[in-house]
Amino acid sequence: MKGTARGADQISQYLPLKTQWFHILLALSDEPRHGSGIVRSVLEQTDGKLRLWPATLYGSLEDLVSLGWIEELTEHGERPWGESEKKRFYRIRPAGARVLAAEADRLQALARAVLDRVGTDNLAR
Amino acid sequence: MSRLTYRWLLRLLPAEFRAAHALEMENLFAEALNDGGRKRRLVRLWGWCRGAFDVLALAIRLRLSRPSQHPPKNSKRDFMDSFFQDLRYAFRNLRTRPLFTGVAVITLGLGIGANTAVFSIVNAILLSGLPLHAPEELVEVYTSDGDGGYPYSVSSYADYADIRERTDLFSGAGAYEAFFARLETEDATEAVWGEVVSHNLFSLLGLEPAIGRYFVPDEGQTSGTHPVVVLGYNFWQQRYGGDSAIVGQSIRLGGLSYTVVGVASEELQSFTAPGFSMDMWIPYMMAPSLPSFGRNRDLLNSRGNRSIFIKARLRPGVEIEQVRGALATLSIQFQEAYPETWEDREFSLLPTAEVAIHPLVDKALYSVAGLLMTVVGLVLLIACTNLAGLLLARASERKKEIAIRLALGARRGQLVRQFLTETMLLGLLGGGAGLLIAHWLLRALVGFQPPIPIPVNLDVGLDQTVLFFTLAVSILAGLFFGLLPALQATKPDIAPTLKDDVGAGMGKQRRFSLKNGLVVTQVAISMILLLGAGLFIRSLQGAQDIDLGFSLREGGIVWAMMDVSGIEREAWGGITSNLEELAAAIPGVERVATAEMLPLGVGLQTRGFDIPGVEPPPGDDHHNIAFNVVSQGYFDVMEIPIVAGRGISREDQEGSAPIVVVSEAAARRYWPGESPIGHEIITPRDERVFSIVGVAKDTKVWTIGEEYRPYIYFARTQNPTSSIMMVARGNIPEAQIVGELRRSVRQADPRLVIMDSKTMTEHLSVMLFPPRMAALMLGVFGLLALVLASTGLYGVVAFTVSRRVREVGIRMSLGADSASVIKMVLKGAMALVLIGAVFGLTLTAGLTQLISQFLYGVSGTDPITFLGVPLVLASVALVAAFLPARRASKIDPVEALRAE
Repeated sequence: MKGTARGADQISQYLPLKTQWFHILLALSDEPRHGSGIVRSVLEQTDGKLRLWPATLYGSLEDLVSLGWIEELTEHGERPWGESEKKRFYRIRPAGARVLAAEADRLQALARAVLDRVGTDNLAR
Repeated sequence: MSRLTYRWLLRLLPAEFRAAHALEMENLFAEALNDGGRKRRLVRLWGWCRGAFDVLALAIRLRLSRPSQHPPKNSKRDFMDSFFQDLRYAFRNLRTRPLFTGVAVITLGLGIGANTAVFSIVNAILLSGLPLHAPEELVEVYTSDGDGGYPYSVSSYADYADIRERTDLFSGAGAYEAFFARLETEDATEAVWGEVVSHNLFSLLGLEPAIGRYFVPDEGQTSGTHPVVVLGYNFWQQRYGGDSAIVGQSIRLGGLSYTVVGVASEELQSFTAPGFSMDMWIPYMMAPSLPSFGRNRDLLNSRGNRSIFIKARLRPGVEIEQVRGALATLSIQFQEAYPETWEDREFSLLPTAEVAIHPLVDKALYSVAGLLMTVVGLVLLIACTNLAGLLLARASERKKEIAIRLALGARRGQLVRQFLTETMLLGLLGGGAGLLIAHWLLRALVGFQPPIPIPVNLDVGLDQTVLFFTLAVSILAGLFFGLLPALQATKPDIAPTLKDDVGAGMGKQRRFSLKNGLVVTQVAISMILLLGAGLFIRSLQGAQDIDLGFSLREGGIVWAMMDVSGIEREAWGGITSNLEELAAAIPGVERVATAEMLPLGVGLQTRGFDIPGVEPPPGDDHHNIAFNVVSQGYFDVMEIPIVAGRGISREDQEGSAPIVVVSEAAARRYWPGESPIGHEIITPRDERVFSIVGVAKDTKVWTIGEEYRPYIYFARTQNPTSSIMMVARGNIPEAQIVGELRRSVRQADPRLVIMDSKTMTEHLSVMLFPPRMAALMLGVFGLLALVLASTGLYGVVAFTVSRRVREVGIRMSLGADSASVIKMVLKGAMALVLIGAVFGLTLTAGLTQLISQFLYGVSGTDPITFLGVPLVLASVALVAAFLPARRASKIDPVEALRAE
């Protein structure tokens, strides 16, 4: 059931990435986090503009797990030291990292296209 | 509390999802709320909405996207899971039969829409008051009429001042009274309408202004020293475009300059009655300066000057019965201290929560509201029985499927629940359609501005209460029309159904089945509604045919008020004479007259008179008689015949002997068997003696339904009045006369404020408005009922025919011709109609007493209605039954028997 390696074509069908998926993947890109940690991290990386409400968050996490882009830490040793047993931790999987990178590329290309056409100075105005 | 609510909300999610994440979601939600800060309630509320929406959206996505992918892990099915499964099933079921669904939604929509529309009017007038602070502490204080009369009448300002001092009973008391005034702007003067209020009334009720402020204590201390005004929200929007710079500016009102200190909140339309949109409020201390209150009247100190309403707030801990006792004592003290003005009077008290407008008006409104709600309730009942019939028919089609499912071990409860989910879903869809229909109906209804010279701005929006009402009605309707068919369809008599096929139980077909009961109910209810509609339409006819006693021919009317215009009493007579001459000179105008008021206007004035030789009624000091003050041409213009003596003549002037003309009813009452001419009438206050010079034919004075009442006509020249109603008739169109009359008024004196101007036709339509509205609404709803009931009948007959195909086939193969088949089917159908009609007639006959009070010129047992309506109903029913009957007669016996 869980997705394994996917080709570039299969990745591109998910682009542009849903906003909340993108930010969750981004939040998990450096280290495993639990729900509350992801919310905080997303708030930070968006200057407090995007708050993931609980149902959106866990709904998305389920989606991402079933796509095989992230996974839940199940092994006892993997969990960060001293954290409660009840909290579920998630980490990004290679497939997720590839999708995140592809989305970042897309956004970068988009930004470059805008700047080429309009120019930084004009944009600032 | 909030955590528990959220946990409850999470139950919307599938069980597996909840097991995995619920705990963390709860924590996360609490965190999110706290991030918003504890203090700001609005932020928390917003967070709640977001959180709830968030869960709801996920629930719908999860529930709809994976239909029972995961089989339940334990046998005990999660309630919400099965609910969502039922819901999905119901959706699918309805989608696969668009015709049934469409008919059901429209039928329900009409029924629910009618209910919603009527309820929102009732809600706007009777239920939704101002958003007052702690309304349970508020009471209305009234003074009774003299002679132990009506208990809920107006009070005087002096009495109010004493009430306000009773801080042992009240933590505050406020007073208010409506006024007319003239507003002077650069280009024109015009009449505006507002309320004079005690300075504390707004704060007493806990109201907040839209901008600026309400009144401060300084503005309620001394008479005439603080000319300040608070504008009404609508007035501010319409005239000043909602410009907040208006605060601090001044307006000229009744010859004085007033500073605008604020604009009232949008909800505050008036204290007097909901729907009356006041232009402004000024402090009561300014009332003596308003021309319409009469500058010379001792308004603030005279206890006899009763014109205000009082609202008071009970002191915390004080019970209403305690206050009643204390006010009774106070009444006795007043009766002793002020015998002239307080004789036989007392204070009376009602909780504000129990008063919508005024006890007297409320009573009438509640009975009208009750009648209307009953009518639309019956329409909805027909819609529901219609649907129940459809569902029953469908259930018997599905009988086999249901029997199989029951045999396979489905519990009856499950099947019933599934049925009900489907019907409640239908109910909700119907409710949605109903809201649309109600919205449209209300737009049409609000267009019917009652023809009165007061701006009416009734907010009949679909507010929260109305939405809740509609939701409740929709769900109840869904339950109501769903439950019986659900129970019937799932009756666990599996064996016969499985054994025998379509013709099951042909031989023992019960005569009084549920389906037949439904048809009987429908016919009975529509009979009631149609009879009601018939009676009200006849009543409208009756109202139009009533002899009002004066001419209904076209004419123009203009109303002006001298005192509102700031004109001194001495000049009234001269200006009015001048005005009459100017109007008489208008080309095309033949006759002109003035009167203090016109018959069938909005009011009735009575006064106490003494009649030498005739004792006042027991308990009264004087005869209370209605009167008018008219010019010499009045009887001529109104075409009221003088039956004895003479009318008012040119010779009756200020200096000549005071005279009156009385009505026939007055002559009959006070001088039975003799001519009243030469007798006298005395006004007690100034002891003026008027001799009777003539008798005029009776006219209706206040309402078209009233008995002719004693009426006295005084001569305008001998008794100048402030109120001048000018009537003119001629040979040019009445609208043109109105325009010309307005011009004459401005010409006679530019200060004269025109309060109202209208054609005679418009004036008369005021009185015909209630019967016209009643006939219109009942007519529409009665027709709706007829349509619904006949489609219901059609459906049931058509279904019965389709179930009897084999029987008809056998009969026809045995030699029955199509006419006898039609006769057979019709006989069955019309028997039901007959039973229903008899029920309906009997019930209505029992209700006629109740309805008669709303009828004009037609009895509650009007034979034309009671014969005509059953005929109409029977013919429509006949057509509805004939169509399927004819189809039955075309059955090919060979085909019918082969279908086995």
